[in-house]
Amino acid sequence: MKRLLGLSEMIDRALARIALAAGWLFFVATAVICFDVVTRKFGYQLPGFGSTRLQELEWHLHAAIFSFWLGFAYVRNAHVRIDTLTAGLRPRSHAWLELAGCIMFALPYCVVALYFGADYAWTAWARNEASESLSGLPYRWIPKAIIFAGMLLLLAGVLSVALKAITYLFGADGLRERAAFAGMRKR
Amino acid sequence: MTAWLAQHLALVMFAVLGVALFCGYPVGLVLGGLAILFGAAGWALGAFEPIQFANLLPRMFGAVAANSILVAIPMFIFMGMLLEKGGIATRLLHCLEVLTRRVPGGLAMSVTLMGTIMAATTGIVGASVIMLTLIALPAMLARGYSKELAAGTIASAGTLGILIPPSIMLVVMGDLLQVSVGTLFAGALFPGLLLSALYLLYIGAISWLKPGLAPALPPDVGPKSRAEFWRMIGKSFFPPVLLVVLVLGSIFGGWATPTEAAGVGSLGAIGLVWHAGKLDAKTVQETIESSALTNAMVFMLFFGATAFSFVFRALGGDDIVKDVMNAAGIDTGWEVLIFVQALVFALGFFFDWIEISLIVLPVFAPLLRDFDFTGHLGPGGNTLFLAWFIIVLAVNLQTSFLTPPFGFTLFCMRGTVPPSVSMGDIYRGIVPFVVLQLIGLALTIWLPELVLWLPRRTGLLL
Repeated sequence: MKRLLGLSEMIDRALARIALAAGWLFFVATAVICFDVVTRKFGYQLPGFGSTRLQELEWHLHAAIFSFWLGFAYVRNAHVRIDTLTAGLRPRSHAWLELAGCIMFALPYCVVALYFGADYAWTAWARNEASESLSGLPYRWIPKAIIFAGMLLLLAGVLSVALKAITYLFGADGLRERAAFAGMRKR
Repeated sequence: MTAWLAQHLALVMFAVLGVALFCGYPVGLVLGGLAILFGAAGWALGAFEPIQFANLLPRMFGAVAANSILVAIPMFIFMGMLLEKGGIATRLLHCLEVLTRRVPGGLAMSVTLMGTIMAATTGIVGASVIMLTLIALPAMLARGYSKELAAGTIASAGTLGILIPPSIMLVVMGDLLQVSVGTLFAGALFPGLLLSALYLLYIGAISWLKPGLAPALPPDVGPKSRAEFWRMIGKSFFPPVLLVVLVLGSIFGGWATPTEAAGVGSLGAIGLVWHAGKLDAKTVQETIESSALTNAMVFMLFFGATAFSFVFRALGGDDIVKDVMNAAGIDTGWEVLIFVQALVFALGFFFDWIEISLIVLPVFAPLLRDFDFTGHLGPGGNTLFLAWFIIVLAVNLQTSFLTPPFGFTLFCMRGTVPPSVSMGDIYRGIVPFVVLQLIGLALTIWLPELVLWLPRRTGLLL
């Protein structure tokens, strides 16, 4: 049990590190949008950084900003829940519900998305896909791989929460406090 | 039995969703999980092929990630969080309080005005109501405001943000029903300002009639000299107001897309926080974290809902919805309009607008495309109708969020108020605002020009 909990905490730390690093992309996206607006209004174009490319870069950044936070948002319990009926339950019942949800809903979703997502990104790489627009960005596999990575991080988050629920339900008393995951507490 | 099930699997899927959402598991993951489970069930019954799941990824990629319109969402969230975490919102509230000190109910009016000006910060009902409660409720109670008036004002002001542009909700709805976001922003401006004005009139009237409900600001609070007063206005009032006016003006003027306006607005917000001397590591960390968590929450729902509506469609959901509506005798434009509005009103008791838009709108979108309402709205076709429909939906949702005993806003508020404020205080305080909302809703339906005049005028709607 202790090992499971340790693994879960390790996943959380990794997710936090990736997410916090990706968070700076908000500033990058702000800069790219402003640069695009200003250069377009002045009719100036930095060679290789035309407006089409910049606008595609904007949604590449957008994809990265939300993808890299999907998993961390789950371990931090930021994903919205409808707890009208379940708010009053005992912590143990919450742990059971969370574990059931992970197995029934989250795992199948992540696994199917990853299976087809790997193929989707791989095809883009193998065919050297680029933007449909001639003046757009090359390497379409990068954003597709970012989505894949996002689902992988989400899966990691789901595993982490599931491990905590298992430790809480079946672990020794001493571990229980540490395993009380975010979903069981009020936000 | 099996044949019936195979044909009506989409219907069962929707019914199961209605139950599964209430198990308290994250909504986005429930939606995604049900998509896979019902895809598998459809496979077992011969109504779905597993290879169809391969189309899921292109949808998630094309509709959610590679979508320039949706880039506006993280940028507006970021801009709003900067203004909140950088203390700009709190200072604006204080400034408004001083400005309105001679008006009856000045502090309550300031809260409403802040909800109007800071609408971008208040894009997500749960988050905005909690923020306003934390910032404004202690101040109102400390000044001796009646708990009912304080709670009603805060709940209504926090919910105003979903309608008044720049509204994240309108970005989502516009994307789902393919109406330009600029059109919706322009269409929402007057209904939003009308509601805001109704709130202000009510607060002014009740505070004038019963001064005990809303005591004036004590004379020792606020700037001491005229010079200090103007410094405060220059530092705390004009910069955020100017920023919001510029962001909206550039969209209405057609100079910038909502995404561009949001990006430039974020730069402006960074500038404001820097000017206020709060651009330190702590503020930046907190801003990034809150923005990214909220943003991930929104897009998790997008991913889950994309998967759900994809499988729902693949199982023949669109036809089933039409059949069910026909069988129930709901087929003329007004009937469908009233039905969808009533459904959304009921859903607003339990869900925030993101879940409602992402689940309900894709289901009814094909139906809504059949109408143009030329008789009521004038010539303009389906786009015109959809623009008006979305604004009516937005005002309707606001009303639903505020209606006791279930209203979603009230529910969010309950967790944040101090123990001295009871649920009864919140219910009693909100009732007058619900009446004002109903007036606003009736006017939006009855006088469509309230919505359509500005988009027509600015050329955003042809």
